[in-house]
Amino acid sequence: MKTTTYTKTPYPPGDFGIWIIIYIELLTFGLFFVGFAYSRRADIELFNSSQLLLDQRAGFVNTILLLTSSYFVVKSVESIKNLEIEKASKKAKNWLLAAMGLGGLFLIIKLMEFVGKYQEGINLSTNTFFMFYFLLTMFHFLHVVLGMIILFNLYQKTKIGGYTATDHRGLVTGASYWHMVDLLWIVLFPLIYIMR
Amino acid sequence: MDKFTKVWIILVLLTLLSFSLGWFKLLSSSALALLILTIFIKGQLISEYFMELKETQGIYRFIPTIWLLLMLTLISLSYYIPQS
Repeated sequence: MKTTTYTKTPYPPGDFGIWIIIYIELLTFGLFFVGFAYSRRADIELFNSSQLLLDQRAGFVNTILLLTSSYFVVKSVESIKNLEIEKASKKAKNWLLAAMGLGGLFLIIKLMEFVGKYQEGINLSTNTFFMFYFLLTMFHFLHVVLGMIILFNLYQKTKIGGYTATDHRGLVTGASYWHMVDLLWIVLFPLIYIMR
Repeated sequence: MDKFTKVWIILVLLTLLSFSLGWFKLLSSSALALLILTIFIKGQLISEYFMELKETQGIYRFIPTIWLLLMLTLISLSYYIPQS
């Protein structure tokens, strides 16, 4: 009977430096999230009425886009790990391209939301809810932009066969950052758009 | 179907559930608890499977879990504790 032995590693996958960044980012956003929740207690009516001005459908679509983009990045890493080098690179680069496409759509939808709010005369100084809304979503937006730059670099290296089944540390490092962007959004979306 | 595809499908379904709770205005106090639970499950699925922390031992694996638990507990308290 065939048995498979799993050996757990002492450190997370990819360069450890990215994990220090990821843990610090989680802490930073976490403080903002908790800060939002407790600021809400000071004026629940204001937060609830302001929240009604947000487009939940846009937030929902953006969540699906980021989750799917993250999934595509996983498929890219899996292609490199499990397929022969030539086939692996081709598949992996296509998955990365698709992931970037969805990331780009996320940015467009978010920009449309920002412009819409600006045209309605809503900005950072409108009230406490929108101060948190803009701070959190713009801060996250910048992380998506950085993630896209990272994905583009991974794509470029994958295109020239730069990753193999035994050497793909850089790919996993960049992928971990992209998943963190996803992880932050799956807390941000329900907290800002839905919970009341 | 590989495990990552299954995880992605669960993530999408949980997102649909949480969106529906808000969109159809079903957010009672128990539905809010359900919504918070979906955040925890989604966070765990992303960190364990997409970030591959399932293959890591010790504290580095559980930092995102501790982060989620601590943050969601504090957020829950702010929604559930009545105002004085």
